[in-house]
Amino acid sequence: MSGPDENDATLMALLAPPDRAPDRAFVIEVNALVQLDQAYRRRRRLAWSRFAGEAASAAGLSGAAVTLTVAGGGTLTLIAGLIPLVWIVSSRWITAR
Amino acid sequence: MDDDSALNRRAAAGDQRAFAELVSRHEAGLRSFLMRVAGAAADDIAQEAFLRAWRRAAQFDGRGSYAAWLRAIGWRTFLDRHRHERSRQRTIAEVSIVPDAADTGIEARIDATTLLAALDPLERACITLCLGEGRSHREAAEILAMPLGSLKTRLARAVRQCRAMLE
Repeated sequence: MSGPDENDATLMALLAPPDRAPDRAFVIEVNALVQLDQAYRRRRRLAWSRFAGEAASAAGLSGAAVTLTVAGGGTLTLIAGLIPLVWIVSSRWITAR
Repeated sequence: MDDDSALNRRAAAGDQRAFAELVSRHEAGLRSFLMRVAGAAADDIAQEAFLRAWRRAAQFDGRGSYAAWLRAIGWRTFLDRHRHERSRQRTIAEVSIVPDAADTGIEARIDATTLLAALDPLERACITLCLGEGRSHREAAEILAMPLGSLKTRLARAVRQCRAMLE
């Protein structure tokens, strides 16, 4: 039967972390994960900004439609002409980002 | 050579090479800790923990060691996984451990595995941090996010059980 000190020393030796060289394969795997994560986050940011841009365009068009309905008359032609212009400009702005 | 804090600051600024150097320095220790605690799932948990460490690099304040900070992330990642597992009718105590391929000898593997298999994951974590890695009780309690008194109780119980098995 071994004594408590001897047992504690055995325990410490058994549980000690390994003294070994870095596992290159593991490091490469983690690095690949980090790159994937970055790419995913970039795409998500882009998707959100596109969504925000398109939502703003849609809101602009809806507002214009409401104005057309309410205003009518002389301003109608002007606003109707502005709608495609707003659409084109906002689409180009979204694509450029 | 940069210290861990300097490398982490570079990683927080988006430097992947600096982070790869941190992974290279700390993967053996973290994987060994997780192998003791989580068994076969250790490498998956370690990868996820490193990913979390990358995302939260800016949160490391440099007060404790980077290794201790990583252990805390690894432990939380392990707990998160097993909360999810528990929702699928498993309990944390059912986590089995397998031999550590990183250990030096076959006898050591069998003994460590047999010893730790009798403990629950929290006790495995306590005994690995305090006896295996030589961390202070306070540091281990911080890593495991538990009160110091509870850690001492769980550690004493784990050591008692292991001693009994060794005798």
